[in-house]
Amino acid sequence: MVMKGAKTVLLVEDDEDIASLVVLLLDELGYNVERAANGREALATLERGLPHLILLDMKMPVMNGWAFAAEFRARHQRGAPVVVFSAADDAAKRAEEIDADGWIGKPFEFEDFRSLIRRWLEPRE
Amino acid sequence: MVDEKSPSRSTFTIRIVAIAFAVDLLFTLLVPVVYVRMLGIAGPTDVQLVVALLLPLDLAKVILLVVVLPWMLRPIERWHRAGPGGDPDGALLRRAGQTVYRTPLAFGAVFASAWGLSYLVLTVLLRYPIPDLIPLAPRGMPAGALFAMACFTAALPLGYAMFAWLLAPTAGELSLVARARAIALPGREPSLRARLVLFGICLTLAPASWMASMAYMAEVPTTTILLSGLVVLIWGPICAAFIAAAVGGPVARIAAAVRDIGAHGRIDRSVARVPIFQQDDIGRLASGVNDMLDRLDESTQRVQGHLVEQERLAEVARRRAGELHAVLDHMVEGVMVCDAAGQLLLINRSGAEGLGLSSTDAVRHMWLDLPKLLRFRAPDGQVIPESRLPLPRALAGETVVGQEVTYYHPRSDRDRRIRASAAPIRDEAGAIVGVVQVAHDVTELAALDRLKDQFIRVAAHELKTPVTIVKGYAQLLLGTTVGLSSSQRTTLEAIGRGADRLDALVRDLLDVSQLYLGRWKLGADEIDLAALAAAAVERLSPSLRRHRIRIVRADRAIVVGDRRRLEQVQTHLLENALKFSPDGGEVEIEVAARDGEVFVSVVDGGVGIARDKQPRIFEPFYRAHTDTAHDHGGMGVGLYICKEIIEHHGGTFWFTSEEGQGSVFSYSLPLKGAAG
Repeated sequence: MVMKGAKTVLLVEDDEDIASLVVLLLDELGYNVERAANGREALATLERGLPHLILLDMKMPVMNGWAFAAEFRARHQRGAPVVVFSAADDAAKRAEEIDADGWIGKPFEFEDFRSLIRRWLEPRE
Repeated sequence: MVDEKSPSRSTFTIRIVAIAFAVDLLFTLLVPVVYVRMLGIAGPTDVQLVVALLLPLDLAKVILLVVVLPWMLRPIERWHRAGPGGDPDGALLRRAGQTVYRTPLAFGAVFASAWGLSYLVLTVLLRYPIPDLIPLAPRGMPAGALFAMACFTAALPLGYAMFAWLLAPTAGELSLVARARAIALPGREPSLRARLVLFGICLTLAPASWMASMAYMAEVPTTTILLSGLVVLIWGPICAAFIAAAVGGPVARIAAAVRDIGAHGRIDRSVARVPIFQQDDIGRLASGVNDMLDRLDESTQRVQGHLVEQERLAEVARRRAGELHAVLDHMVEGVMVCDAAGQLLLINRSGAEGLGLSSTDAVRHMWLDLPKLLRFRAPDGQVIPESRLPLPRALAGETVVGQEVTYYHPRSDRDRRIRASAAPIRDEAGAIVGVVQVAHDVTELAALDRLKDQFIRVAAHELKTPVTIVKGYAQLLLGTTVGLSSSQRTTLEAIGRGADRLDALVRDLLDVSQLYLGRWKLGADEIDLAALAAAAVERLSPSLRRHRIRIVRADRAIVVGDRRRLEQVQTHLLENALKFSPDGGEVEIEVAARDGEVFVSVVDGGVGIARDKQPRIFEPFYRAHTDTAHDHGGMGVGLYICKEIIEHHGGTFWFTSEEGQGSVFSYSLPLKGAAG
């Protein structure tokens, strides 16, 4: 499914079902998706190259969003925009906590999701 | 009983008569000898004649003593015989009193008269009826008269004083009984002065006339003079002794009584009253002393009564205080009372325990260091300055209700939370004289609240993931355009709506939980409420079938607030209006800006709210339409959240409603830049 030239999104999400759903949506939008089930996997993935966007769930086993964000900043600074992908009431607060670039709440409307993703990956000049 | 006592009682009379008779006998034997020798009667026949004449006269005197005296003393005997219970109205006592006080002078006079008259009659008899029998000396007549006078004046003080002395014990007894029974005894005797004058005259006159009669008769033999002197010598001391006893005795008793009072140092019933022996000045003095004793006794009793009453009141007060302490100590709440200077006056057991100290004294000892030791904080962790603690606030005149204070509890080495109320105690003039504080330990409640909040947050968060999945995949399937029948589509739409509702419920639950904890953080966006209303209408309108939403007025109204929250209010009000207008119709929105405020109203013509349910409409989890045809489900927290949102923005939220006519829900918010 990896398309050459297409932008890459790193999805860090421990829930299989949600991850599959998001992958389908991003596929539909024409982006490459790399998946990681927790922060540690995500960090390993990042060693192979930085994506254009990181969609980050917060509560995960092994290494959670907070720990990942701290490690990411330490290694790559602002190498890629980080968007918190979390339960609606928390999302904004979590984003603030880890100094993320944006947030998408769960559950979400497809329309909102698509426009937000596009806004991050295709900023108008 | 009367018979039993009568022998002992009559000894009283017998005793008096016997003593009087004995004294009298002494002189009855001596005086005739002097008389005969003074007149120079020497012949045996003549002496026999005089003796024969004297015998009936003496006999009369004896009758006087043995018959008349007991007869006069009868009322006393009668009173004696009657005993304590035999004289209910005090008549016997009064008569006995009269007797006891009158007899001495009366019988003394009779007794003296008997003596005087005996010798006067004897002299007259010797001189006139039988003149030739005895050649009475020429001066015999005057001498005899002088002799009779001497006898009278000698017998008068002797008899008077003797009977006064003899009757004194009885008089005293009677007076005390009468006093105890509050009966005034009759009889008033000559004053002491009059008596002393009488005694003085008699005591002078008797020996004078006695010796004068001797001197008047010429050639009285020396032996006769000596004999007569002997009689005077006997009479004098006896008479003086009786007078001394009759006059001095009562005075001595009074003196003793007064000395007793001094010695006792207090007056009560144990101090005996002074008997009244004679109703003269001394008697009145005794009576006065008795009255004084009575008054003193009364006032002593009054004082003692006061002391007893005072002791009783003190006991009552002590008991009350004990009860109060018992109640306070068994209270769950901590109670403390301070004076106006902020010094601790009282703290109950719960209070001391709550501060982690073992006793009131310990608290008092640590009082000034408590703020430093316990580090009083507000529930949000901010240190409370001392002046903002409940007690100082109340001292400043404030009434503090339910201030929550967290502090370090040294004994358990943990934080505790109390809900404290404090109020100033004022005196009648309204000045603050102290403060009372009641503190309720809410540590466990706070912990429970935290637990509940934690539970809700975790549960809500965990619910969101499945909701996201359900909603997402339903949307995904709906997005695939091919191969879906219309019934499948309807099913997927229903699944999506269900997920949305679940999401809304979870959000409401989180909102309520956060509201309870006071943890709302509001954004500060600039929002045009007219635009916000229009957007809400636009969002809802496409799905409406039987309803129409109309914006009747839309003033430009910029407020500063949390966009999402204000949208939530607007949406909820519109949804409610639609929900409770089941027959369709129009819902109107008005956004009116005036006087620095914006007023937003949502008007529907629906079912309205019954009057009795209106007061509870803003209570969380209250649902006015539960179990009615209009029960549309939900948790009953929507209006509560709306009201809280508006109030957190500094606004006001209210409604008017009429059952069957519809409702108007309104809120006002301050416009941006408006003062206040």
